[in-house]
Amino acid sequence: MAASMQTFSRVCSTKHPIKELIRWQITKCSALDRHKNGVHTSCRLLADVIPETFEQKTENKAEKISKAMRLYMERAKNYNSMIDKEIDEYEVGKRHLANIMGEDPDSFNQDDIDRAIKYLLPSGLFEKRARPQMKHPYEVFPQRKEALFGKDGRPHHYQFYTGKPNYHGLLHDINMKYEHLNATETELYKNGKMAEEEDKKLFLHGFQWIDHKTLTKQLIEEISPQEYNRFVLVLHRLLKHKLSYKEEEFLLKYSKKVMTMSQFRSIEKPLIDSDGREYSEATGRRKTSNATVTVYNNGSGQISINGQDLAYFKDIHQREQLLFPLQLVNKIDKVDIVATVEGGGSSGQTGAIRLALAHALCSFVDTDSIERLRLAGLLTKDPRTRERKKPGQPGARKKPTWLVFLILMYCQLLVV
Amino acid sequence: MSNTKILVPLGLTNSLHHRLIITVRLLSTAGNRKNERIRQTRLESTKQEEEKDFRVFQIKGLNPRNKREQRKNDAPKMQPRYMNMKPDDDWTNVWPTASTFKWSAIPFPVRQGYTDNLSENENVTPGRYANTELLKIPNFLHLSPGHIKKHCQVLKDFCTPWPAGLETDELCDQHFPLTVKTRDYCFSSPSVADSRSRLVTVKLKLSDLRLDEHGEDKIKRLLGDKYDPETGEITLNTDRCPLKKQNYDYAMYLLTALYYEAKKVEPWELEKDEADIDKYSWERSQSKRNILKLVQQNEKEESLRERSEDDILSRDEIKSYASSVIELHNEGENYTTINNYKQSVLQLLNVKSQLT
Amino acid sequence: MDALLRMQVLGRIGNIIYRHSQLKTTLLSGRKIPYLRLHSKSFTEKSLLRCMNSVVNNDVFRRTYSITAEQNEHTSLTFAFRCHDNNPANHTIDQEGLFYTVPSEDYKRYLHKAINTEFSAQVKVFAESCIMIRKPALEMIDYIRNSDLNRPVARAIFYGHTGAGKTMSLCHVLHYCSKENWLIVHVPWPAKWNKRNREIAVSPFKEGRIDLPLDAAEWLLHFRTQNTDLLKELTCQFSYTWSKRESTESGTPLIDIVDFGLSRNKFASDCVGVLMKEVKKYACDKRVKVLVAIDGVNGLYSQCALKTEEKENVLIENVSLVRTFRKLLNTDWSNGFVVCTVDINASHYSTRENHTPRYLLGKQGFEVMDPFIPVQVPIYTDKEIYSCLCYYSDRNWIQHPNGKTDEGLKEIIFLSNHNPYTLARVCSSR
Repeated sequence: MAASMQTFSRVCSTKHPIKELIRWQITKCSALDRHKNGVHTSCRLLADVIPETFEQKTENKAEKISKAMRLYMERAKNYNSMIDKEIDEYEVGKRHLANIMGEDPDSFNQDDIDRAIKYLLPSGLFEKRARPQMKHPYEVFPQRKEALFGKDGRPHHYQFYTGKPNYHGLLHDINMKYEHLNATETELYKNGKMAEEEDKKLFLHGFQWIDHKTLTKQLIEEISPQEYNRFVLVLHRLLKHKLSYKEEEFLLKYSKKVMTMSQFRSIEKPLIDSDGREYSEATGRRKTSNATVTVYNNGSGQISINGQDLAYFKDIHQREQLLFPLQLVNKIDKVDIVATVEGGGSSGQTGAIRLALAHALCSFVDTDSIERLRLAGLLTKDPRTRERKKPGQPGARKKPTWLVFLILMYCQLLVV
Repeated sequence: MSNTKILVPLGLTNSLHHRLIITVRLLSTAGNRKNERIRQTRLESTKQEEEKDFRVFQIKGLNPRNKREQRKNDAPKMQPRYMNMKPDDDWTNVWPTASTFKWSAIPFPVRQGYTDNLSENENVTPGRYANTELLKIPNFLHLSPGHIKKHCQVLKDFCTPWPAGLETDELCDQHFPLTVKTRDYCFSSPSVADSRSRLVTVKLKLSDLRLDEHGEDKIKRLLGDKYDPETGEITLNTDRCPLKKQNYDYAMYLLTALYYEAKKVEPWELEKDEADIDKYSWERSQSKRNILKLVQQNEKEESLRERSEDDILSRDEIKSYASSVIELHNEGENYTTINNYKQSVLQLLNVKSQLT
Repeated sequence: MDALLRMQVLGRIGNIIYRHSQLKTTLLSGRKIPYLRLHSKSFTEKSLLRCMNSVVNNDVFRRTYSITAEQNEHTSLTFAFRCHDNNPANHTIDQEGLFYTVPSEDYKRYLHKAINTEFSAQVKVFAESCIMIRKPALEMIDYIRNSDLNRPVARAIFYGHTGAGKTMSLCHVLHYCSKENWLIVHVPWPAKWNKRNREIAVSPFKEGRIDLPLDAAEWLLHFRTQNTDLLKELTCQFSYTWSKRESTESGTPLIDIVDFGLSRNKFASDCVGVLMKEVKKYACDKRVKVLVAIDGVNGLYSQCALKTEEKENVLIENVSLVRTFRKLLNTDWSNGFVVCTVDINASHYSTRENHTPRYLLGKQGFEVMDPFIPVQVPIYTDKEIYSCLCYYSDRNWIQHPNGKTDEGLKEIIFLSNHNPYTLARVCSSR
């Protein structure tokens, strides 16, 4: 009894007394049924209570874990079913939309959907992403990871407990590949076949590693800058290996081309006018000037600006600006130029014509020269515009003479 | 059945409205004792009787009302309409006229909204349920291609064929040279009238008036700014009268007045100076006098000097010179006109060069 | 890196290459540079040179900034640009584009005042005065040669854009006529007399007339320099009374009148008038052939900005000098030729839209000059411009080696837009 009292008091100190009391009573009832030990129940009350509560505790923990897992699995299942439902709705909705617009539902693609939405629900909002749209659920819902562990609570990924399994898994893969290449290298040295591999070294020219954001998106995990740097270092080490050509496909997966054509305006093929001459048109802007330039190939260096020749620009600086793109691609006396420009002053008009000229020249020139033009900054629109005048100041930056400021300070001091 | 609704005109008084609902309820759940009780309580709770009786305090939860709640939950929740729609349904029947965006009647899952990060709706563009942005857009769901086809079909009965002989724009301009533009505005505000609607624009090509040279010159001077020399159009904008009709009458009057004034020749017009004349006239020019003088100076023999003016002027060189001078003045100076002038002068002065 | 900054850095590197002779020679030869010796003391230059080790071997960079030795040999500056016959009478169209040298005595005598400041500065620098033989001048000389001097005077006008070479063509014609012993009445720039800052005097002889004593004196000196011998020969045909004490009898050589005008500025304008009257008479008497050359004749018919002491505007008809020279433009005399230029800069600011003769002369001027022969002075043709550039490079006016290459020449031609004056300015600042 005394021992039972001790345990009872211990139990009571950790648990809620009234609840415990009730439980005790209940256990008392259950203890009255023939217990295993066969001891007199009234004496064995507390002793019986302890092991039962202990069992219940462990039972609760297991129950709890499985409950959590069950909920997790349910959640994952619900998400998947929700996505499937959305996809169904999207597909059916596509057919409905095609029917509304009177078009063939089978060949109704995303462009048609965009067009239809624009027609039926026209929005004048400036931000295009804030306008009504109908996109595939995969593009609407952000990507979520699949169920990370199974019913038994065992995680699927071997790096699960790092917290960022995909990232660490990737690093591990890269290192494994490196080790593998090392092993291959040793084998080749042993067999004396290393000389054959001399020329096959991999150089990824014009490629860059994928940037931080892309990696985060790919791995669906939050990656810190330090982790990203680590990743790049490891990849680079793999690339530097003599036999890295064997892993070219893998390396290309994590690299992107630097100088892609999509970085600047698409180069249009030259058009042919009624006389059979090749020409190309382009427009350019600078400050408040707009210019349209037509460049004819196989010319003799004739220039016409708003009907006049280069004498339209009296300043030599303006002429130099127009000379720049022509000189860079060696076409000074090989093309004819017809330009119309309006708005702005002489400097603005010159900048506009220069930009348009550079763009138009791209059609007649090889990619190397286009790269040169781009490096020289001739293909970029100059975004600078006149700064606004602020109140209380005579101009954008100009301030009244400091004397007035002194008086203000003096007044402030007086007030204080 | 318990949720049947009926449309009741607004004119009915409150009590009558109540009674109608009650009768419907009765019809739907006839023979139910509980409803009878409800009816009673409802009747009792009409305004006039409320003040007389003492209301009993109802303790919540005392009498279990599970059945009622159950019934509520069992009542079938209506699915949104789009779930029952089929892809080959006629959209014109679903959305006959212009109306606000009804999320439940739209069969396609359109979304609107801009989300930046996970805290904004978990980075998911909000759907059509309770999306006020979609309500704000003036939608054209009532003007789908199907609708337009139906409209056109109906309107065809009220249309007559386009008149023959007016196929192209040029033919239209030829037969109907006068264009009258009027504007109507329609919007809701404290005042329904818009001051811009009294403006009347009358457009006409000068050549369609068929005036002679003097008339054209005079009307150009009278019109001033209202004549566009590049297109040859006369534009008369009138808005000085308060009513559109009055403005139109005034514009017509103005046009008539201009036309007849242009035809008239006033006596003081004959005093026109050389400076006022737009075109260069050879007859009155100093160049003519110069050339005559020069020719007479050139003649060495006295007898030939007395040749008449007409004789001189009819000479080929003089004629070409005259035409080149006229051209120089009227067409402006460019390479061709100056060159022509140069050739004629060289011929006159009898100066030659291999390099010309 | 920002595009502007990039170009600046590349420009800086280019500068260093240019100065570093070893670099230059290796670049010119087109070979790759394995190693650069860092002799430079400046830290920035050292670091830049280090960077250049890799940059300079870059293909793109080399193509943009280097010129090979072969390129240097194949420049277009191998034209013959000099004409060895200095007598304008012998110039033909075959010599078009070539430069002939005006002997310095002729230059000092006839052309010194006729040309603009930039050309006179160029003459000083090059130590010679060379004029290009061009088609308009040759044409005019032909007209003068082929004109019937018995007929009333023929008028011809040079017209063209600013800087095209109207004044130079006029100088060429002047030189020709001076060699043929014509009497030259040359007015360099009558528009000068329309400016507000001229010194005015009221004419003692005619009421309402305005005299320009200093300008008249200046012109008399110029006239004297050009025609000293002829003026000593010819004598007055009438007698003139200047004032109570001063008079000129008939029979005195004209040069005395000139000297009188120079010494007594008060009567200078009237001296000019008197001289012109005499000259006209001599021309009609076939005593002497007269060339009237006015540079900017539209200045005689444009707005006048002079103001009297009472702050009243002066009409251009009332300026005595203007009247005198206007009379010369009439056709009431013979045995001569009138060659003028119309210049856009001689007109008033408000009438400067066109460079064509009828527009610039105005109604009044045209009526006086009509019929005249308009001769266009165009901008340089390709042949002429290359000849000019050869001349400049021969005189070491183009100093930068890049300026002598084909590419460089193309750039210069583009910038100058084939305009002779602009070409001179572009070459002078490079």
